[in-house]
Amino acid sequence: MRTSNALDPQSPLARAIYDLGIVSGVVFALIFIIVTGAIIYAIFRFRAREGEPDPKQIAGNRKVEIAWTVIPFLIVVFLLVMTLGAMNRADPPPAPSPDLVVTGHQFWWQADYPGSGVITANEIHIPTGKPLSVRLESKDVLHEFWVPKLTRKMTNVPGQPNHIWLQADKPGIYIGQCSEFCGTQHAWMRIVVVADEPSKFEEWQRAQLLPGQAAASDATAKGLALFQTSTCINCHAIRGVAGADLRVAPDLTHVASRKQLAAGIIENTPANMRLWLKNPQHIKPGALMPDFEFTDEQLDQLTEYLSTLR
Amino acid sequence: MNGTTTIAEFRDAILDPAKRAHYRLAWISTVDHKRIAVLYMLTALFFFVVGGVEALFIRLQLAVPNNHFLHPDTFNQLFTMHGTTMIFLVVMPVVFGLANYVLPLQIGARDMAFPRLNAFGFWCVPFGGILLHFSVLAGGAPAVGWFSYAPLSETPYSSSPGADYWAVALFVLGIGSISFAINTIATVISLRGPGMTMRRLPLFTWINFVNAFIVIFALPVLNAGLAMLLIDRQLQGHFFLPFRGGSPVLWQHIFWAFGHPEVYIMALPAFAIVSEIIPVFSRKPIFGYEFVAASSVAIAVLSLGVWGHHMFTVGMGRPLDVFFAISSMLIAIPTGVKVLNWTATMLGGRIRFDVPMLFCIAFLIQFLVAGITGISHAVVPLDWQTKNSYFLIAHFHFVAVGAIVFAVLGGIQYWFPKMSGRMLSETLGKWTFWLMVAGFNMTFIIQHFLGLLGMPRRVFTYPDLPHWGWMNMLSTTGVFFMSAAALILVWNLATSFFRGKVAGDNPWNAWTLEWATTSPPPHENFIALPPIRSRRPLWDIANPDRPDPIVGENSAAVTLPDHNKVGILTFILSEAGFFGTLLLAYLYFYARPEAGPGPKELDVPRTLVFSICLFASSFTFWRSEVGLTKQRRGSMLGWLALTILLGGVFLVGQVNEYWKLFQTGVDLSTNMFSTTFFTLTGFHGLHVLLGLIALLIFLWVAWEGDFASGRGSAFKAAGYYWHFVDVVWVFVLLTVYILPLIR
Repeated sequence: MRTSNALDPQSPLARAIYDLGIVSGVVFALIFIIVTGAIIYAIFRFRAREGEPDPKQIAGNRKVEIAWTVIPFLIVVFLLVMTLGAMNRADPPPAPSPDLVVTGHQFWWQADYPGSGVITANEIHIPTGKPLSVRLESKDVLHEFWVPKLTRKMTNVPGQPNHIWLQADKPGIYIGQCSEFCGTQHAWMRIVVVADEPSKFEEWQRAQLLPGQAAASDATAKGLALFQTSTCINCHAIRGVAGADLRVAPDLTHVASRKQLAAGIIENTPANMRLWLKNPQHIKPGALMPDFEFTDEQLDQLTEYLSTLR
Repeated sequence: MNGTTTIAEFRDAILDPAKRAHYRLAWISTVDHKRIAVLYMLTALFFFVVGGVEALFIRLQLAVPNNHFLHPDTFNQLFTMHGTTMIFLVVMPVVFGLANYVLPLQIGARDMAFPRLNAFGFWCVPFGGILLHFSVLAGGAPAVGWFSYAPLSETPYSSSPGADYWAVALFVLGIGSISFAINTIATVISLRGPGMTMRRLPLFTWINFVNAFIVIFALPVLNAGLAMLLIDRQLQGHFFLPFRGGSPVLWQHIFWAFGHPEVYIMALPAFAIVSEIIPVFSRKPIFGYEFVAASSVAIAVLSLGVWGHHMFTVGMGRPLDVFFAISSMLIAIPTGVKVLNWTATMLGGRIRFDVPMLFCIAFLIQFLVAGITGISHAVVPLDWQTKNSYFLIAHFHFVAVGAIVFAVLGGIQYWFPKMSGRMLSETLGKWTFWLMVAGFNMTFIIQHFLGLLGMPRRVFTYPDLPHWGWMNMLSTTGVFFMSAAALILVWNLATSFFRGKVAGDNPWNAWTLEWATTSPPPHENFIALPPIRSRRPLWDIANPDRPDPIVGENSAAVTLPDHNKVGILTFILSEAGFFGTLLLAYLYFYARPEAGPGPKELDVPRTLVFSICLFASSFTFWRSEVGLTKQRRGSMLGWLALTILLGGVFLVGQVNEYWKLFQTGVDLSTNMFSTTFFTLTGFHGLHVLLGLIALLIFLWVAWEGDFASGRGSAFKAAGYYWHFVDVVWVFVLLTVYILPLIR
């Protein structure tokens, strides 16, 4: 089952954090048990009973107070040492050039692979077994990239590129979400990281580099024509379609290959694609794609065309 | 107005329409700290209901996955308003109100140092609350979160005026808070009764006194940030917009430099309450008064240096991350140690489980959890998972509700008898308590786990991931218990006020001075004060055979500092924070090269001439003061007029400089230099103008003839302000005009 459980680390980076959490957790649990124990002991042992005189008016005990200042200080030093170590393991120094650039937009994620030239959206494929250097950017407001099982979270700050490492031990699907409030649809800026064996990743990468398939049937040709003339190309890019190279909105070259649409709000099926095209504002009010008021026929054509973009 | 009306008469008067009119005016125009305190607390109670309803709607929307009960925009406005309301319109007013009532009594004073300023500070709260909520009618409440991160809060992404109302409301509320802090500091320093040395202060007073310093340093930083945000939104400045050279991270630094001290501003009064109640209900003194008092100072100082722990994921760089990790872990020590002091006070005592004590015991355990999860956030890599998740929400609600609200509820149950002369119902109090314990823990414990399962904060809905559904449902259920508790509390307050058991002077057998007078106290607070030789004057009276050891030396005839002087110096300290922030923002952008106008546009020699006029006005003011002291009216008037003239010349010079810059197309919106230049010099000019107005008023009063040296202290205070405005200009001159010539 896809979960985003921080307590189930699936990379050395996440594991460094998890291990630190265990050690700290033991310390915290001990502190809680001891102090709460003392409070509960006090409640039962020292409740006022009828007719008892006032208790001894002790105002303090210098030695005890020094001891219980020094001991927390030592605990803090211990935690600090553990923290520094884990910081280095969870967040090693960045590589000079990134393997992956993740750019936050309101309300979707763009993923660029500088090495190969692949550009995609929301569903991020990575090869297993090696750390990937990721640069985080934003085109508008603050966003935050968080995939708990794989790595630390980090803010996408417009104007200030940030860096994290991303890694997955095993093939699988790892989910996450934008965690810095970024506006109306912050809740639906989900992240899907698909980790594949390196060979399978290479396959995916090769497929992503191919341009969008040419229109095969009459319906899809009409769909392509609609795409080019209905101002879709003002925001969306499809490699191989003339004039469609702006990336204000997700790159659609291989949109049909993705598992979800609109950053995770609906599963990617032709029926859902059609619903989305019919009225995006109905599904994701506040998303930056307007309602184009397509006719039913136009919707069928567009859906047919986009479904070919595998 | 009959200042010695008893509460019984007041109660009857409420029920009589004719007398109601009189009391309405009496309460609206009051400058009596006791009434102002009640107004603070009633206002807080009103907004508590508003904020609570907002929380109820939030939790209703989140009860099930994929919910469509609320539109996302509505939800986003709700959580913004909920946080803003609870912090600025509930917690701060209620703790200031409680301190307002109790502190002057605890030190044996008749009122606060500046009663009219006290009233002003209160009225800022309803005014700010109205401003904030007016946004609902003016295009929508702000939907930017209670800390309003940029660039989302900037006009391109938040075009409706909600964010402007938010900023202006907080600005007004901040001024009110600073006013109360100035009043607190001046009161504690200047108005203590005979024998009440600083070392004999009850912890409630001491901790609120220390807290006032945090307010003085932190709130002005917020106000500077708010001014910058408003300049961005309304005057096309660029402080926080990256595509024009600004920095979103700068907003975070400025906001959290205020925001972290702010949470201590809310927490310290809770510590103050608990430090009073636990000893009384354990029947022994606080264990380790000096450590608790000293640790409060340590917290106040450290709280100004930990703000970066809100920014561990923003990319400050490893060195800064480590610095803030260290400072944040260090602050855990004085905070945590207090829990041990309170527990040790209970150990060996004879504990009575009246409602105030119940709330304090729950506070202890819940605050312990809050503190521990707080330290977990200082362990930076853990924060890299838990920040911005429901784990964080759980943490800060354990602080804000589990610790602070519980302490305040205990404080209300404890001091209500003193304020009204009647006891609150123990039975209803216990119902409130247990419903709060049940509801609060039901709502917030599970949120720790939701966060660890990856649920981020501020999401209007969520997918049906494993466990998220039932955990959210459980969390929502708790809200109903807390709502019931709140209703019972309000019922308790209303009915006990009219029909509660008569309290008498000291129903709890407590030991501090507020219990040495009637319930409620007369208008001037005390008929007579008992002798004060220790921290528990009433214990000493009740136990003449074994009084507390005398604390410090007897303060026979100590002349306390003049309250006007303390007041203005405190105000100046607060202004230092405001100008410091603006100056640092200027330097921040000065260090980053950019195209367009720069310091080279400035005419330094001409500015020097005008600056000399301003500096000379400090000299002439001094001469005027001398004239006043020597009762030489002509000399005083002449030098004062010259001061005003020189100040006016400076302002004219400024206006001239602005005019020349506007003519060459340089205004606030041109680039970062121009934005920061006009902001910094503009606010300074505003302060000069306000100072001139004050001086003109003094000139007029002196001219009219009434100038006994009784007003000398106020005149001197104005002088301090005037000299301060000059000192600020020295910094501005050096930084903006001179620095570019040297560097």
